[in-house]
Amino acid sequence: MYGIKLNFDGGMPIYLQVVNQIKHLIASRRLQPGSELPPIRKLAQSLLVNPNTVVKAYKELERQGIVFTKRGTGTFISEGHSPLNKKEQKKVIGSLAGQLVTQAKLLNIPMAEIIQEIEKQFKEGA
Amino acid sequence: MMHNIVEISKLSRNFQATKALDNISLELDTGKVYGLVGENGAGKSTLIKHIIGALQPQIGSVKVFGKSPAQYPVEVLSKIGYLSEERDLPMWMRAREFMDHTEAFFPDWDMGLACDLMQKFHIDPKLKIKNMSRGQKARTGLIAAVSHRPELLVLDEPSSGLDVMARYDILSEVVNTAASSRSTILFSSHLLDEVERVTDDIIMIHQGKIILTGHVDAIKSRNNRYLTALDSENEKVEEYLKTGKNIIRAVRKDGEWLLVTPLSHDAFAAEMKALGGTITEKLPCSLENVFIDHCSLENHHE
Amino acid sequence: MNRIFETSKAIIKEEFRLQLIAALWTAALFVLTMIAIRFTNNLAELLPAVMVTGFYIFAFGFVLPWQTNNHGHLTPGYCRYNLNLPLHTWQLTVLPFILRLSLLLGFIGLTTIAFAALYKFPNVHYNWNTVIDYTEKSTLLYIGLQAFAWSRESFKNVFLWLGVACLACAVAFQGIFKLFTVHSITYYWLAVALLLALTVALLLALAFFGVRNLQRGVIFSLPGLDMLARLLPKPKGYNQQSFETPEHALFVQTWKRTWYIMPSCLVFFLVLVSILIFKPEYYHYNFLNLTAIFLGMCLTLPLIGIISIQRVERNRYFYNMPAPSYIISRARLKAFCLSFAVSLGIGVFGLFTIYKLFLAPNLPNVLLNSQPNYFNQPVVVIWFVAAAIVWAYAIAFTIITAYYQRYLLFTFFVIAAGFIMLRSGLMSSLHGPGGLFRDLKSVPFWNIMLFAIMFLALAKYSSALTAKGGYVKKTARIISLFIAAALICFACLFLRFMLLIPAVIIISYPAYALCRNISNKRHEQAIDAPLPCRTILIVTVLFSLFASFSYLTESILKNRLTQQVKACKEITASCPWRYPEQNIMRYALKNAPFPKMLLLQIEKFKKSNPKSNTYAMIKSVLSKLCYKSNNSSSLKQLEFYLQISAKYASISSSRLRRLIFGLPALDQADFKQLEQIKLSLRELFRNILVQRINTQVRVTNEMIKSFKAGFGFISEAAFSNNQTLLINRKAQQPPENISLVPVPYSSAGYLDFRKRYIIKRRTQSFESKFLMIPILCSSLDYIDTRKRYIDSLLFILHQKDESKKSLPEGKDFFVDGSFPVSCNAILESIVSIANRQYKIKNRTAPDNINQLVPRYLNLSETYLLGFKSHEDNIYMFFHKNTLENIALIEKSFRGSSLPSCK
Repeated sequence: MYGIKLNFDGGMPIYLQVVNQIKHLIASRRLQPGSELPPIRKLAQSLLVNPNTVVKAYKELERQGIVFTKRGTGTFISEGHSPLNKKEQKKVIGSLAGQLVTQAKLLNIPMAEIIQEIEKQFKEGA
Repeated sequence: MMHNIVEISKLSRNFQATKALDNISLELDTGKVYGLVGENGAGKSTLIKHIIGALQPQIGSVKVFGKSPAQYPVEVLSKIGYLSEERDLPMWMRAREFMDHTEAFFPDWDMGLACDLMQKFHIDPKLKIKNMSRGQKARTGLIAAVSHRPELLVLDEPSSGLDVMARYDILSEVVNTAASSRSTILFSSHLLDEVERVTDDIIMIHQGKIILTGHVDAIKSRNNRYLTALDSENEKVEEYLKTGKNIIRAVRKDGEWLLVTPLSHDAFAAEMKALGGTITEKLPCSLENVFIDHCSLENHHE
Repeated sequence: MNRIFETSKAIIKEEFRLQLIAALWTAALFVLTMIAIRFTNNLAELLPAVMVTGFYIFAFGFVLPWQTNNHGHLTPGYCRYNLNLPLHTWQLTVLPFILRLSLLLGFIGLTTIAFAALYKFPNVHYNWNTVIDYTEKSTLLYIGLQAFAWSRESFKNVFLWLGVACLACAVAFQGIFKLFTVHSITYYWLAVALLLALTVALLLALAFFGVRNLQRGVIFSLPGLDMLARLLPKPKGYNQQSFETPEHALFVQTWKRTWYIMPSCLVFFLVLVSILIFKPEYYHYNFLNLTAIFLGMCLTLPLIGIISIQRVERNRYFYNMPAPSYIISRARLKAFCLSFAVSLGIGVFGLFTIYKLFLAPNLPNVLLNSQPNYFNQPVVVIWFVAAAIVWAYAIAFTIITAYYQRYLLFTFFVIAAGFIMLRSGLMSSLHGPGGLFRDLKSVPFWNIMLFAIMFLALAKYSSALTAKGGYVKKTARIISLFIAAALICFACLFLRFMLLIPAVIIISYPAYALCRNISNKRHEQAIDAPLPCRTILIVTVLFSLFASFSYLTESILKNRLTQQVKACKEITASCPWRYPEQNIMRYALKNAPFPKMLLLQIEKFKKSNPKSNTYAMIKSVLSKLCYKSNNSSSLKQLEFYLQISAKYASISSSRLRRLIFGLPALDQADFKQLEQIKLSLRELFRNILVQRINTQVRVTNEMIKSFKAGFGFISEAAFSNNQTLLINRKAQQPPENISLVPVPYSSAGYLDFRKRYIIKRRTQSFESKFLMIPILCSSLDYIDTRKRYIDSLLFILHQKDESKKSLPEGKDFFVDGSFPVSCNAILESIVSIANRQYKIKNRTAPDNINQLVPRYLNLSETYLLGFKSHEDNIYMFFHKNTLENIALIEKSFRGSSLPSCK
């Protein structure tokens, strides 16, 4: 569904993978803010994962403020971002940057190249 | 009914000289999906047979729905949907006849559900079971097991020997049942990725003992694999590798040591430092790795 | 060449290993069985040994074609693995074939040696002819089965169509199969030999090519019956059926899958028997043979039935269903019972058809005419049918119990064997006369067996139902059960209705055993096997009904019997011809015109000169005594009197009881010659008849004696077919002395069936309880026959009032088919009259006798209802069905005019 692909070789928990991929989908505008996420059962069936995993993923997304739940109706993607989560976002970006830097150092790639790469990605994503 | 659906306490079972189950204690909660993994011959089917009352506990006790299934077979079995490893289905019946026949045994049977499922799985109601392929047999057996909406669904290796489509069908039905009802599901499998995706909790059996239980993520987090550089000539290092209580497995790999440990990165790094070694890399860990790490012959904690 | 030799050696070695084990086991079993029979039976009782030998030979021929397949199971096919090896086909077929055949022949040799070692060989039952016969048949059986097994897969449906063709021939063209049974066709042997050779060649070719095709992967198939099934209009595709209860669902499924197993086995067996093994002279439609066949059916079918139901229903799916085990067992038992009922129906119908086709086309009439009347009464027939059903089911359930509780069976056999040995005196000879073992002999056999079965069944019931206890509790329980079983068996001796208790216990046990077996398979322990209350109730009700019905029938028959015995006593009291001798003598004395003293002297003289001619002797004595008598009639009467007395003396010494009626009014010369003819005819007649009957008697006697060990009551029975044969009460006499024809007048003890004394009280043995009704029927018929005979004698000899009128047709007492045999004496009178009419002056009369005798023998087998002589004409009344013999009679009585028969 929506091209979410799960990987079981690595160490990343499934729910996190779902969370990340949904975030990616939102970031790439394939999921519009305000639109409804598929119901838990349907997503679980199409991904062939335990519904509790989807529940966990949705909870995590809700905790990060990316989605919100309306009682009886469903889960919807938030418009914009609430300021409460700026701290969270900074944390996430920070950790990602940290990983990027580690790898770059290992591979001996200069910072300039990294910045180039980031700029390229931003342009494509728009 | 808040107590557990299945309570197994100190269950042991010998078949002649072999110890099939060794002091097993287990509790299964309502509404969860449990995956039973283990080598061939580890005791999975034996455990399942105890739950459905086909075997009597020699030592220990088994309680399903609060009753012993061996003593109250009718009460217990009427709430269990079971698919056996050998797919014991009556070969001479046609699919529809089979459903009609099974309906007589379960008062809660939902024929509509059975027919829907038969349609969904593309099973011709007039097809004789003995003329079905393996996949069709497994699907038919599964339909019969779920159509009476059991409180406990027990599947013994439902995907073994099946092609991709059949496995997909079976898994999707398991997910469906998990999502739409409060049934507890217990299934055993060799396909670890299946088990990982669909289950809430995993139960890992090795040589009759339960060696791991819990959610996949929790299990993986206790199974960290680090590539380390160590001087193995050192006596202290050798001793540590052989008897260290935080080492689940130690394998020599291209001059380095692959060590598997439940400790987190920092704690383990400290131990390594104490021995004069360093962590080179943290390797990804799949459920397969966990399995091999715990069950391989090189496991020096046997 | 070398390789061929090596590979052949390997095959032979493998074959040998496989077959030798089976052969050794069979041989060991056979030897054990033979020894057991030999030492528990009289040396003279050969029949059980012969039957066992025959059985083993055929069984061996049956099991030889079986071999183990890949999975280690026994199949009658070819092991798939061997077919993929680089071997010639002949190595795979000819070598095993020769080996197995030699094993079969070796086994037959072994059986013959064993028989010879333990019994006398050859003898009338088991001699070289029998050996050759058995060899032929079992070889044929083996070859047939082997060909079938080896060509089954590569020649699909060939045997199916062969079987259908055989069946069609058997039904439509009886002639082809009469070929095997009728010996009177010329070149019969040649025809049979050719046919057999052709069959064997065909079978061998099928076997060879069957294996060859398997190797090459060639399948030759004829359209099978499924093609036929496809042509039939399909009703729906599947039977949509909803079931009300789990029991209903289980029963329908079991029934659909297993109902045909027992009936088809039975049909197969009947067809096989009628084609292969049937010889008319083995089978006389009498009670004993029918019972034996019936018992055989009841012993084998249930075993096949229950084994196949359990195998077919082996699917574990049903065990995981939430149904209690007793429901599963009930469904299976119900399917078994219904299927068994179908088999019984087919069995009766099939046996009837076989008899009708091969033995007696006019069977119903023969049955009706040869069986005495009492067996045809509706009440008795119903009782027989009911008894057959009850007994069949009783035996069937016992077999099932034995199957499920094999160690119980083993225990039972050990007890039985021990008891037989004790009783047969093996042990008593060791311990000397008197004491325990002497009394043991008087204890009836069946009581002990019943006791053993009851005790074991009770123990089994109670051990499973009660909780486990300590050793003290268990011992106490066993002792109390022992006492209970003993008390019940003891009570059964005196109160017949107590038999209900052991019967119900034993018959309802299988329901319990089956339930336990299923529960064991499901849960590893028989945890839910409750007491089968419903089954016990049904069995009790049915048995009680049957018992009451039996009791009613019995009382009716007993009353009748008492009445008849009384009537007979009255008649014989009034009849002047009554035996013993005194009354005959009295009669003769009454009619003799001489004073008693004279008669006595004549008698004395006759006794001291037995060889002298009667007439001359009388004359000489009279003249010596100076008695002048010119009265030829009085002389004649004297002679007549002497005749009678002499005849009775001779008869009583030879124990032949026949009355010969001389008809008056003959002139002297004719009388003399007639006398001669009559005497020689009588001798001839008697010799031939006695010879024929003696063989029959000897054979029957052997059979009877061998059954007597277990079925002691037979000595009381009366066989009633064309040769009316009444076994003497004290059956220890040699066959020649068996009384041929009625008139034993001792009516004592008719109601005394082997009574025994136990603790000074008279009881009846078990077997007489069960078989009271047939025994009563035979006795009634016996008495009836006698009464009728006396009646008819009196009638014929004008002792009754109806003598003035002519013989009316349709008088009841002439319908009895056994009557004609008892009219041998009367026929002799006919002969005498007829010969007189037939110009006796021709001296070739004695020669004619040889021609006439066979006809008279035939005559005796027709149903002569009666005759009346009026002046010089003889009117003979025959049964309607024997008109074809009239021509014979006409021919033999040339010159006499017979009235037209209606």
